[in-house]
Amino acid sequence: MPLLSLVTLLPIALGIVVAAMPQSASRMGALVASIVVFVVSIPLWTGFDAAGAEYQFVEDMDWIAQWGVRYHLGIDGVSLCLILLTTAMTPLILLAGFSGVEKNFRGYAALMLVLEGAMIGTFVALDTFLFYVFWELVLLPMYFLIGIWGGERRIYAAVKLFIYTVAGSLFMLVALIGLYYQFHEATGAWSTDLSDLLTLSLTPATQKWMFACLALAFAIKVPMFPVHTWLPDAHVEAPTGGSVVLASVMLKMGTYGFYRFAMPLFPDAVTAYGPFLIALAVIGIVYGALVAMVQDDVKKLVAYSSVSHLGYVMLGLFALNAPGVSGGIYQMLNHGISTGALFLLVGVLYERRHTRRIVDYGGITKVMPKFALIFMIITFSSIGLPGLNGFVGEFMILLGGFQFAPIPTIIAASGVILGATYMLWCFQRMMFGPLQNEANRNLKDLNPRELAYLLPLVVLAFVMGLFPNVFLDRINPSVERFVERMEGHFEASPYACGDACLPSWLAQEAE
Amino acid sequence: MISLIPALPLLGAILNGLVLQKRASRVVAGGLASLMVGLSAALSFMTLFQLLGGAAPIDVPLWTWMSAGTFSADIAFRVDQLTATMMCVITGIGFLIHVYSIGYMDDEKDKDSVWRFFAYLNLFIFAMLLLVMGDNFLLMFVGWEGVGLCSYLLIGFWYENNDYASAGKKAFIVNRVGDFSFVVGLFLLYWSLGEHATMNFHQLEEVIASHPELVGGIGGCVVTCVCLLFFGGATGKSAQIPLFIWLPDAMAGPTPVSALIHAATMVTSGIYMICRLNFLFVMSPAAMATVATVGALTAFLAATIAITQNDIKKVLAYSTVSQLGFMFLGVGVGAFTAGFFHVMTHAFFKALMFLGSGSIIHALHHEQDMRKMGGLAKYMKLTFLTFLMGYLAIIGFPGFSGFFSKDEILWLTFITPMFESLPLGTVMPKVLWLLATSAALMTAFYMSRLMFMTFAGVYRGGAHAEHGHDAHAHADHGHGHDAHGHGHTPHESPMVIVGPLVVLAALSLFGGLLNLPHWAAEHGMLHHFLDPVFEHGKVEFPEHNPLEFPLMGLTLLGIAASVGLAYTFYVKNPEKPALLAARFQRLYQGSLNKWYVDELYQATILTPLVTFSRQVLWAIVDSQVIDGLVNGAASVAQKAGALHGRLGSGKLQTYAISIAAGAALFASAYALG
Repeated sequence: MPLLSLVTLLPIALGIVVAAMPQSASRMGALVASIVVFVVSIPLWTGFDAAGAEYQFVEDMDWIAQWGVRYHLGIDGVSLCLILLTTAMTPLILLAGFSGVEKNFRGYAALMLVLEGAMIGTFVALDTFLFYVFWELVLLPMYFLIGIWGGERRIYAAVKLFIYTVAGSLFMLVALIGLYYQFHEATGAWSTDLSDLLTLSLTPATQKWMFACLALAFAIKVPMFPVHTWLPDAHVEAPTGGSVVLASVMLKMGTYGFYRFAMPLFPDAVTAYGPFLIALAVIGIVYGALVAMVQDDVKKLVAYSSVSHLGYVMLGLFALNAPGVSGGIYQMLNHGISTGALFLLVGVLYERRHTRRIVDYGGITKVMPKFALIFMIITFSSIGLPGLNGFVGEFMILLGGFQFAPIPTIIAASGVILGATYMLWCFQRMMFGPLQNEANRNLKDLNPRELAYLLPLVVLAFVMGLFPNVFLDRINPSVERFVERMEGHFEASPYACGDACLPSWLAQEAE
Repeated sequence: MISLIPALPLLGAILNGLVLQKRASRVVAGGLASLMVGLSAALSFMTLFQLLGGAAPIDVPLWTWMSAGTFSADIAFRVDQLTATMMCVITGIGFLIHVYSIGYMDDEKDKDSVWRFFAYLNLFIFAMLLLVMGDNFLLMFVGWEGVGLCSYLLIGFWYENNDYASAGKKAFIVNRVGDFSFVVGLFLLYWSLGEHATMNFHQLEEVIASHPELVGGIGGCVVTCVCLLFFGGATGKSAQIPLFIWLPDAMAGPTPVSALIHAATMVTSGIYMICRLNFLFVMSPAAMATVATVGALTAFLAATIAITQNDIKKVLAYSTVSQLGFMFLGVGVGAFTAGFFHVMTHAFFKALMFLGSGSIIHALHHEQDMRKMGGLAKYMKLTFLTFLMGYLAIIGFPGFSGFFSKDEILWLTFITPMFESLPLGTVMPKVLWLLATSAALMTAFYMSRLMFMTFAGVYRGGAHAEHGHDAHAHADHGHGHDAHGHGHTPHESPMVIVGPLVVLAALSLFGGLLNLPHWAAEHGMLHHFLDPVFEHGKVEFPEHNPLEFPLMGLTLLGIAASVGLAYTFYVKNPEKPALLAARFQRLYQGSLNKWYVDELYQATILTPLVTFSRQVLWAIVDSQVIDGLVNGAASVAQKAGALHGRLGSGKLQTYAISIAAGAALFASAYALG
């Protein structure tokens, strides 16, 4: 079986197998299954031609021939990294679920594997119909993971997630159908294939409304301000594994959607709406950070920090230059590692104390030194300490952003101060100070299983911080192709010119 | 070999912090850490001598760190004269302080955490070395933030005390404000260079030399903005107005940390950075004037606060802020070598005095209040004698190291040609000189006050048998000193503590020889050595001026008068200060309370920001407006089609049907077409 199909469908198939297993065997079964998927995905990395900007491992065949729907899979460096992020995170999530998931582990694991396959599907699909199918498929398992294994207000959170996403999806659907007809009008043939649709030259007006529809769907997923309010509820109510997969991978579907579909398909619309989206991204960065600062619930705090961090990714993508976009893509991976790890860490505490309120903790370092060390490393990874992963993405985004839109970037850069503020304040309130709460006195430090799923992420945080070029070498060629495509369109626009956004006296000086 | 210099302390940090941990006793952990820094120091001095012998700067490329498009940054070192000198200061003083710490940390009750202390200390040396050795902005920034991290960890070393943990957090966040300014400056610089853009210092120097127009030429707006933004970064790390507020709080850390990080090395990184970028700063007289003015004002302001502080470490902390101001004044008037020379001499005498105060604090079981000291010269002879050397150096007693470095800064400030192109450019040097000289006089006064209150008179601590308890409550480090009992007389510290003091005292005494002024030698050694570094940033000062010696004499007289004043206040008529304080209540309270700068920031920035976030953004925008709209829309839908009831029921069919409906819609559209 071709590799991409295998990596996509194997987890779904294994998920069904796990669902048929007895409850008692499901833990090992699910873990082994997810590790198998990870191992299967490794040849994608080793076999990937880093220098090549074209899609690789392509599979392309008719699916519904009379409608022009194709089963078209392929990956570039960006999807490659996201797939590996997905396959690497899943075993860790399942391992963490051994203790956190108290009822029906089998069902939980089966859904998690199906979810994995669906998410990979969105990263490999090069046909808009196929993409849409996977996109919708992702929602189902997530809905149940929250609705069944979630906290007290799980139904509210699950419904909110559902309504938000479905509302966005409908807009996406409308745009895709519109595009489908546009293609027919222009060529007389029917196709939903991305490579076909990219050949269209649409009028700016058409591009604008289609882009707006797609952008709305993706912006909800990212989530961008002001369509972000499903995220904190979903995160708070989701079981640990759900939060991790949501933060690590699912949010990236939104930013990936911009990168793969919305922006290349409608470059003129990017020119028109770019400033607006950059503005929203920057508002999201500052707003997310400020709201995170005043949360009493640690999961909510991390959720709002996601809003802030994903704002950086959007800023990078819309900087439309190599450092910005590559930084944005890299930040997607970084956020997957560090925020995923943060949710796992919160989960460790939650399982011991069954509270997410920051005030219930304090002085935990004394009783859980190993936990404290890992928590601290991840905290600093999240606030972009150089040497750890977060810095690389953040720096490249801001560097690229400044070439393009200096003033918004300066505002965005103030997020690095706020980020340090809310994370360190949270860390201090939970980990430092005297150990006053009696309930915390006998907390056990991390056990080997917990170390087994946390340490890989810590190692990755260092590796990705010190040797980012291992990844960037694969990402850059794809990004350069993306930038070239966008460049052809935005050169004439005043938006493209960074000087225009600088005070005139400064710009003239630099001429 | 060069790579080993930072690698060894890193190895030490890893060994102590991750491998040995609790298994390492105080002596093993401290010995290992000291050994690593000691080796690193030996290698640094070898490198220095190589360069002194006329060798060219050494480049050590390691690997390409990150790249995208034309942007690229390497992990690579470059050791030139400036870097080598800094490396020796860092590892040399670092080594002494590591050794000292072995003795200092002996009463740590929680013996399990000594390894942690040494791991952080080693990590700090590593980060500080990266800061000075990096050949590009990004690697420097790794060190820049890395030392901030270590500072955070070490200030909050006794993390169970919330105040200390807060002080650490404050230091990190205030520094982040500076870092924000620094990176924005970097972005602006990078953008202005266009196709010549580079992150590498050496290449940057060449680009600027051949294309000065890229940054707007001399006096250009771009270069001024870039330099001011970089200087903004320096005000954070080097504790200048307006970001100096974190440094006094940083004294919550163990005293060796105050000596190493918050006096001798880390806080001088801002001056190092400006020296490193001298070729850029000299292009903007306006930025230089800002640097010099902020430096002089900080020197003055901090001195006014130091005068009334009672905590010995707080006096030294404000004195550090003040001395850093002198260094910025030096580089700001274009006297880079003089500013950097003061970095070195200050490292000697301030490290010495901090360690000396540590020796006192250690002997008095963590008493830091000078009102409970006095007469210690009798009990702690070596500590007193070494402290005396540091004192004479800082007040600028002729012949001592501080005399040469401070006098050079004052004199070059007076005659600097740097600001001639600016409005009021001829008056400015005189005003700055006056500010700095008054700061120097105040320095002499408050340092004498410290000396008299601590070492002269009679011991005021032993009178209260209970003082040990008070001290413990005052400085709740979780230290055990029960074994020592109460009502003791102070005793001299052990050799491992006093040894480093003696070495530093010698350096404070003879450090001036490293850069003798023009009237004492043909050319200063440091001056000559650092010449190539400042090749493009040379400022030509007028050679001879009849005012030089009269001014020096005037300053010396003033210093003598200040010392005399302190003598009458704190030895002869000890009741005088209280009377004066009562007379000038407002002034006294202002100075004692640090002119309420912290309170000002709290009231104008922090509180409004948190309140706004909580009351407006969170409670209204997020919870009411946005969610209100969303939930409102949902409830409309619910009423219209009882959607919520079915969705909420958790039945699989409902969802399957909705998805199917979506797909069907898509499909039917195709079918229709």
